[in-house]
Amino acid sequence: MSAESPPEPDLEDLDSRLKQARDNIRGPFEKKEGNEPLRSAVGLAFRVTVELVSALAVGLGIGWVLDEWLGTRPWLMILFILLGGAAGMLNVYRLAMSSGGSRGNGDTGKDQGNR
Amino acid sequence: METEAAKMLGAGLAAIGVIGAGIGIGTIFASFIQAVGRNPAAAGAVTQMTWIGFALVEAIALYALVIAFMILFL
Amino acid sequence: MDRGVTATPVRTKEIDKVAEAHSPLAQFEIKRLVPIQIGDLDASFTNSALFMVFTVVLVTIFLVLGMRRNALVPGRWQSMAELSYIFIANMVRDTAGPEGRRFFPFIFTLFMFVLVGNMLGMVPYGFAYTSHIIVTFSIALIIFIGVTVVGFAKHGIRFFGFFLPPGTPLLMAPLAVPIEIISYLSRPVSLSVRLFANMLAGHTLIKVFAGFIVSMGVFGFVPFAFVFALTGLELLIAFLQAYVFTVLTCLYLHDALHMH
Repeated sequence: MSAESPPEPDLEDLDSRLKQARDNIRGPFEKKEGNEPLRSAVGLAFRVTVELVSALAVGLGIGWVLDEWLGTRPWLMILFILLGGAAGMLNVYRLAMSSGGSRGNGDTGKDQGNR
Repeated sequence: METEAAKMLGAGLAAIGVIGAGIGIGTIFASFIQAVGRNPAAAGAVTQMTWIGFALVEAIALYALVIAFMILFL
Repeated sequence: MDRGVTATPVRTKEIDKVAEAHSPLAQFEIKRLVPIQIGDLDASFTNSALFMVFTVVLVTIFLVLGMRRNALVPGRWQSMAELSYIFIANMVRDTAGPEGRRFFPFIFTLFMFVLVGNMLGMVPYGFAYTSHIIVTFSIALIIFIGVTVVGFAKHGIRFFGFFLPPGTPLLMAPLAVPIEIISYLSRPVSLSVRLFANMLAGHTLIKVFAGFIVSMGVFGFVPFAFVFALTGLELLIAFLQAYVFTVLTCLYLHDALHMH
């Protein structure tokens, strides 16, 4: 009993010291990230919608221009609308998954939830 | 004149597709609220999946909208 | 008969004028102050341009006069100037990485320009040039082109690898590359639309509720409370949008510098 009791406070001490050290390493930005009032679900919803719409709009625009240029009236536009929708979903996927792996093209999670 | 009327009718009909997306978004967020209510600890993981599902549904609504606009203005 | 015909258009015009002045969208109207015409190009000095010049002057005064005394223990004004510097410096370091320091002057200018532009819209008789899509899109386009140039300057032809995510099977490339390119091209659009839509919606909402105060008479205090709360919210959003705009610029810069 008496032999077992010393390690426990030791471990707890180590734990708290580790936590403190980690907090120090993370620095000011990480602390600012915990600034919860700045995040809002409405803001995130708005961001998701904007990402979707803009990707779709870009796809539509590219398809339109290519169609005017090549004279293949509706077909390329239809193709690029589908591709634009896929790109929008990719953007949103990266936005949602940004807390996990953060491959660049979309946005990493640092600003997630700000309008 | 007749084609104008037909265009507007067609655009209106194309926009009906948004109904499905409305039902879908309602279902997604209802399930989201239920899930978080039952297990608040899982909120983070559930939120991610919710937004992906939201994006999928919203994209379909946008397709309908794009078709409506194309009929109207092209 | 003759008088009736001439009088009617005048009266409707006047009514239109009054209605226009109280329309929630009248605040976004662009007026030519000094008409300048270069060939077919209308390069008039508008109220939008006036407020941009005003912003530049304001920020310059704020920073130059704030740091004039350059005391070791800063006063209130100097603290404000230093605070804005540190805020952006931290953001650039944390988001764009150490190599992003070279772009600090641009990021700082961008932040101050957007922030003061948003805030000027909250001043009575002010004009928020960030509520015009052409302004925000021009800024976003400059950022987009600049970031792409930086990426190509740093990585050369290998920057094209950005459009093929690592680990994608080669069979999927014809599908993945166009999607990635569209995703990349959608950045300036989403960047500009977010700022523009937020500013436009916020200012219109305040004006609409302000219109209710008059039309509801005795019960006008209800929309008045709304306007009061919305003004606070709008100030927050004005700051937040400038922050988001700048953070996203830093992120894009990070992508261009590090490729992933």
